[in-house]
Amino acid sequence: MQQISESELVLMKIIWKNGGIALYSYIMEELEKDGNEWKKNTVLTLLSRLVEKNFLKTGKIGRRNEYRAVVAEQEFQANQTRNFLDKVYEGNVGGLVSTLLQQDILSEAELKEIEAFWERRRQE
Amino acid sequence: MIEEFMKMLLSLSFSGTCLFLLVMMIVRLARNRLSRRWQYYIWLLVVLRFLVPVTFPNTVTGQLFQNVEQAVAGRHAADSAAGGGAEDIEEIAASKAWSEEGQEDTADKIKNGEGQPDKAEGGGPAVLSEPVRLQEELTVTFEEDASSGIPGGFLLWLFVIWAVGAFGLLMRKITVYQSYMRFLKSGNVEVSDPAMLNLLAEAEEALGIGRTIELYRNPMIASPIMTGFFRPGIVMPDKKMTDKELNCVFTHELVHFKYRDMFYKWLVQVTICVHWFNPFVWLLGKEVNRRCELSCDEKVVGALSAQARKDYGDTLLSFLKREEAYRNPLASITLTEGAEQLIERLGAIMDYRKKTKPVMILTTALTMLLCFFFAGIGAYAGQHDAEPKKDMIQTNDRVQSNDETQQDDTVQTKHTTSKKDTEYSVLYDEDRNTWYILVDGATSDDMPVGGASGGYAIVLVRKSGYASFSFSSYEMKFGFLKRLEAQCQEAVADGGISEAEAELIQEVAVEIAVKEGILTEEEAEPYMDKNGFAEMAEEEQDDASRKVDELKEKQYAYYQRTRYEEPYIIEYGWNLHEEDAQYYLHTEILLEDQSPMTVGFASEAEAWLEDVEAMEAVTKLLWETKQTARSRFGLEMERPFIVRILYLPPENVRDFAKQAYESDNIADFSAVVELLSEEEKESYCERSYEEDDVAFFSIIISETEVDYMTAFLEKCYENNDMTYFSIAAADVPVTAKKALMRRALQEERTDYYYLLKNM
Repeated sequence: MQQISESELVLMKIIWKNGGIALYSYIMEELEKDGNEWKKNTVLTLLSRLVEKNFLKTGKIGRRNEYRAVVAEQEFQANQTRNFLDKVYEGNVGGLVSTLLQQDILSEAELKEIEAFWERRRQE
Repeated sequence: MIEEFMKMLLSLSFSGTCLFLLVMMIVRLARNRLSRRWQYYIWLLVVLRFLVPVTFPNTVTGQLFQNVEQAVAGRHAADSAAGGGAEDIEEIAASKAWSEEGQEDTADKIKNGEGQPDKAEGGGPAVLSEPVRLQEELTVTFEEDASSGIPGGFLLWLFVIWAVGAFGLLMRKITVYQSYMRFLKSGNVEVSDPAMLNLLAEAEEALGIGRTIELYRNPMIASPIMTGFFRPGIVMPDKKMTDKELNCVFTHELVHFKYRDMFYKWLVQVTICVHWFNPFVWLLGKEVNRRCELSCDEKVVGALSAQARKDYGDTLLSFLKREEAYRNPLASITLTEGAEQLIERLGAIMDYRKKTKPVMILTTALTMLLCFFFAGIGAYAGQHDAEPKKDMIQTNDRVQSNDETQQDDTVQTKHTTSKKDTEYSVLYDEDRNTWYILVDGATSDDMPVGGASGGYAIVLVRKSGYASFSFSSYEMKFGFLKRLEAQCQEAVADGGISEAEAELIQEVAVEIAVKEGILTEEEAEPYMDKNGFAEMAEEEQDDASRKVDELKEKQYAYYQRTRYEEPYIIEYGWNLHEEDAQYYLHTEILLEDQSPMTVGFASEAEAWLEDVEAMEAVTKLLWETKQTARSRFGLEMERPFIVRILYLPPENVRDFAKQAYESDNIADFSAVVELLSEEEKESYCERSYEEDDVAFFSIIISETEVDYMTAFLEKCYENNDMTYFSIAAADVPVTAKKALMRRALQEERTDYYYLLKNM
């Protein structure tokens, strides 16, 4: 999976939020709501980069452009996490979890929850 | 078939050349009276004349070719009838062609079904049947050769030479282009900053460009480039720029895109490939390249207000500085030359005005006239009832003579010099007017990025490094070899290059000079022989000083700047164009020596006419300017023009400077920078360096104290910051420069060494 820039991620998030498919006009509206004053060609350029990177597929409904996510949000998150883990913790999950705990990003309760989840998965 | 093709090719070359010369004459005569855009696009007509074989009945070229053919046909028939050999020089080639007739027998034996007409004895019916027969003959010869593998057939041979040249050249151009694109691509990083993309989008909207243009950054290039036919993109150098600068750059590049300059340029390249044997198409290529940027500037500036035009000029200014530092780190372009070039281009920008009605009528008339010539010159196309023999003679002559002086341009040529047994090759970068001499087994990978900016350069490339020698375009014409010799001597004395290398460079330079038409072969003769050198150089010198005088007479570029004349900020200019001047209010003032001077006032400044103190300040400033303009540039200040006056008490100068710096107003800032305390100057200096603002930096550094400046120069050297280094070095005392040169030499940082040396 190729890396995407922050502005491209903004667009992906809008499309994912809309169920993985969005019209160009919808994307523009959402951007405006978030206070992003991006010009038409700015957005089109970013979208075409996403298409080129195989994150999106584009199609036409009548005269309107529609964008469909090829990469699911979970897939992207998993990929990013793995990258991050490899890069920063050299693949050591324990290191990541201990940082999360030390920084109070992950609470005791949440950890328990994860353990329970993991137990269930193993028994299945 | 081949014969008709060659005829067509030659006739296109001929009529293209005619139109080329005509347009060249008009453009030279008209100079800047015609729009730069027109001066750029009119060459398209010439390009098409070279390429498109449409013609009308009874055109000049068609008639000419036909007449010649008939004449020769008649004469030849007579010759053949008399059985005489070809004694005439012109006929030698023809006799070669005729010698094919020897093969004719073989050919006809193979084609035994055909009833062979006798040799053309000049009879009416025979003339008519001749082309048909010859064609068949050629086809047969060709088939025969293909099967036996023996080269034969004079016409075919010519055709093969032409085809190999044309296709070889085309392939070469394409591969060079592709490898450059790969080089770009490897360094391209997509720009994802929405603010910058928005700026681009705004520029696109302003120009009415609907489609999206990609935007990349690339640390390996020095100035912005427009690339790609199908997915167009702008590649920016890795430099921080202000929004205004970005806007200027985007607009400039988008204008290139909008007007399809890429296609135009490639069309010209194709023309060069097809007519490679014709020296004029190479000139055409140069001319179009040169006109392209000027035309683009004009288009960009046309839509701008006066203020925005100044910004555009500022951007150019900052880029020229960057280019000097990056593209051509070893440039020996001295400050005055740099300034001269800058003034010329900025002058062209500030000089922009809508073309008046008479000019437009003239332009239309000229265009129509040229179109008429386009059609009138015509081309030879289609079969005429005559023998093709004369044509072959022509082809023969032409190709032979061109073989000798064939220009190679981007094609690499290997020579081996007999004297020193050094193998070297010369590579010419057309876009940058730079010749690279590769020695020591160096390859194009060892070539420095960049080349001459504005002028011409010769770069000696070794595996271990390179040395560069550069010339302004004006030096190329006058004193080129002399200047080169001086530069070489210096470089040898400093141990930068060896004597043998110096000799090699000069030898190659003479070749280049001849190839480029800077010197004729006779003129070059004495240079080959060292004794004649001094004499020739003197003559060149005379030419040179004459040329300088001419240049001075012509220079009427508009200058504008801002100065602080306590307690007023005065923005003013001079050499305002006469036509523009009439729109402004005028008043006459008496200068210090009691000479009267008429001064124009912009409407914003008119109110100050009543203010006695302000007018005193204006008078004083104009007197000073008049003096410095004369003493420093040898120019007369004419038609001064007051743009703006602002009351600024000395205690507010600091705030004013701060505001000017923050609002990116270089002119205002430079007006007061010298009044700042040393500490303040230094802090601005650091700040502009941190913020990577070259334009401001160049203004401030020259105002700082010598010690500080020297320390800063060393800092730049240690940080390997070539751009700032070259700027800081400009005002540093000689002793400090010398010390740093020694250090650079010791540390083998030859680029810095040459940069200092050539200042």
